[in-house]
Amino acid sequence: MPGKKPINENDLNELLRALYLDERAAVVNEEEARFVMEQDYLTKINPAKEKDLLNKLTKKPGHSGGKLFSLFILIALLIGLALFYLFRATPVNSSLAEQSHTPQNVTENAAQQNPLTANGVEHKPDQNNTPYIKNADTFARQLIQVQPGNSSSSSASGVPEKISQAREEKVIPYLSDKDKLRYSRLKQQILHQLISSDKALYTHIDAGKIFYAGKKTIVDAFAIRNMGISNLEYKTFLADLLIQKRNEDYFIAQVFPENWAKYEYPLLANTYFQDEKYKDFPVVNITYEGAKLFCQWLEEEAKLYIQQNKLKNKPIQVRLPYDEEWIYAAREGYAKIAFEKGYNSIYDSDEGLVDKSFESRIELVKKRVKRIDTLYTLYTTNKYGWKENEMIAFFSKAFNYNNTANTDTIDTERMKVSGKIGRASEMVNQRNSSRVWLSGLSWKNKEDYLQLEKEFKSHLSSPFVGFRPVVINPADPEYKNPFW
Amino acid sequence: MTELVKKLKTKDKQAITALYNSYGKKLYGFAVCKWNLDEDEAWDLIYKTLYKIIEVIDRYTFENEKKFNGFVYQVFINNLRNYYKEKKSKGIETVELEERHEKILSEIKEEKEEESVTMHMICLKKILEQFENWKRVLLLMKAQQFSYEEIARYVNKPVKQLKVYYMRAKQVLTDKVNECLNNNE
Repeated sequence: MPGKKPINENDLNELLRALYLDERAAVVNEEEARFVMEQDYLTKINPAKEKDLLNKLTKKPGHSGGKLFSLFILIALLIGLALFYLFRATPVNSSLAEQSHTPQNVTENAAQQNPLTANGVEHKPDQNNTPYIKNADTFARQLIQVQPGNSSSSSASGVPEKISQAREEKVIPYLSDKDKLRYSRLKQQILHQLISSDKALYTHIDAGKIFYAGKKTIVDAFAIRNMGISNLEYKTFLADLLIQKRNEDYFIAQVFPENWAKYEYPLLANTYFQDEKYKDFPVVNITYEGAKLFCQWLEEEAKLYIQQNKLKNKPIQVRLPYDEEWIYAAREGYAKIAFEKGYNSIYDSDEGLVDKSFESRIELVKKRVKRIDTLYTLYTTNKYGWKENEMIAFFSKAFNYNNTANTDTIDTERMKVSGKIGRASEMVNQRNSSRVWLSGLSWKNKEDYLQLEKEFKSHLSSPFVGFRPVVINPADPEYKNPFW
Repeated sequence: MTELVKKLKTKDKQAITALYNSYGKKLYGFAVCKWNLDEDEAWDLIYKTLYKIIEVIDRYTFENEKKFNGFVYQVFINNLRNYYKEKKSKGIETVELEERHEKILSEIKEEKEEESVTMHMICLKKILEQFENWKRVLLLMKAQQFSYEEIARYVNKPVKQLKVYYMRAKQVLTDKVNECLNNNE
């Protein structure tokens, strides 16, 4: 309202409002007050803000009291951590440690002084001067320490640009004879399922054509896993590397559960890979090199299995899927790759979705699945960006379907459920390229995908990324009998 | 009601919750819908209002609910008024951060604006005094974005006529305020 120019409608309203406030602040108008209180105002009340307000007014803990409480918890945590480090630094009696199942890193010197024993068998330190984790169970006792305040600095939104995936301290898990026996049996199951082409795990996909990246492409026949490689299968692989004394390969293939903590999932950091209840969930937090090594290991072991059992099978090839294979498998509905709200295909920087018809095909799969699989609503859920409690609650749904975990079995029925509920994005190769795509679930849009990809590149592994291999019969170039 | 006031005087938590449920929610809606405050501003205002009531209630006695209503509303209006004053003063602060010559110009401009606003307000008050009370209420309530239906219930006039009355009253008010401003130049 510069100068004393003529008043307009807006100025008038502004003045009237100011006048109203001046007058009503000076003199109470009870009738008007009653009128204002009787009206219905169509506003949404934010329950969190409402609770916050009432907390402030009633001075409940959560504000000043809450801060004190948080401070107390923080101090208790720091003391706990300090005690833990102190405890770790102190040499302990090995037998006591085994009884308590407490994770203890023991240096080589300590190991030499106190040869580690389990099940009455003496275990010597390995030749690479690598310390052992002294524990009865090979992988289950891996404890991830979450530093207070660490999560925020390295959370999904603020991922450091470069993080070396190699741990500063190279630690080889201790493998007892009992573990060796257990994992050897599991390995035999894995190989048997592969060679017998167990339909619960492997789906045969005939050769066909696919419209991929703007042109028709022929896809040769292959078999693809129905779900990602599970934690138990991957543990078996890691254990076999240790049994074979392939320690350097172990370091390449090892799992990095601490990635969970970077995304503020401290509980999952200590349970998802370690706890037997998640044994049939897809393995995550492995590197691309680790996934490739798994495929190579499976291929080599399958070859040995065929030789040792004098089978007539031809050697098979195991590798990560190519981009077009993964899409083709999903499109044909063979591989039970579920539709999800969001891009279900592979993002292409030039084309967006590689093939939009993929989505419509998946819609058909969705309808089919709706009729036969009540788990549909569970496994079509995007999980990237969830909070830990949401994630754990979601994972726990798998236990409702099959709560009995036989730890000595590659349980395909349980994997069917857990593989869907725990499904992560998968590493997929681009043919004739070093490009690795992260295909499938976990992300709901292009921004999510790019963020996930950035984080994966930065950490070299991710709690949202696993893998499923394909198997091909290279001995049949004409594909008259592509399977085995 | 007297029970609520009694309990509020003892700072009873249930009474505080009841105070929020009976008055806080309504005033929140009023602040957001009629005064266009955003969510955070409105929550802040409700907190200040209820806090003030709880703080000073010991000093008051209320004959009935109507009196207490009026008291709550007046506390709220005072806070709302202060909020607008603060908002305005913050606007002036940003001017002070500018370069010196700009600051001087701004100060001159502000002074002129203040003078102008005062003059506008004097004229507005003067003219409004000449209006019938219900027309006065109509203009004030319409400026708060109350609907004709809502105002009709309060001033007890037919809704259809109210719109016409409002348009005429506003036109008369605008003309007379402008006339007043011209006469005082």
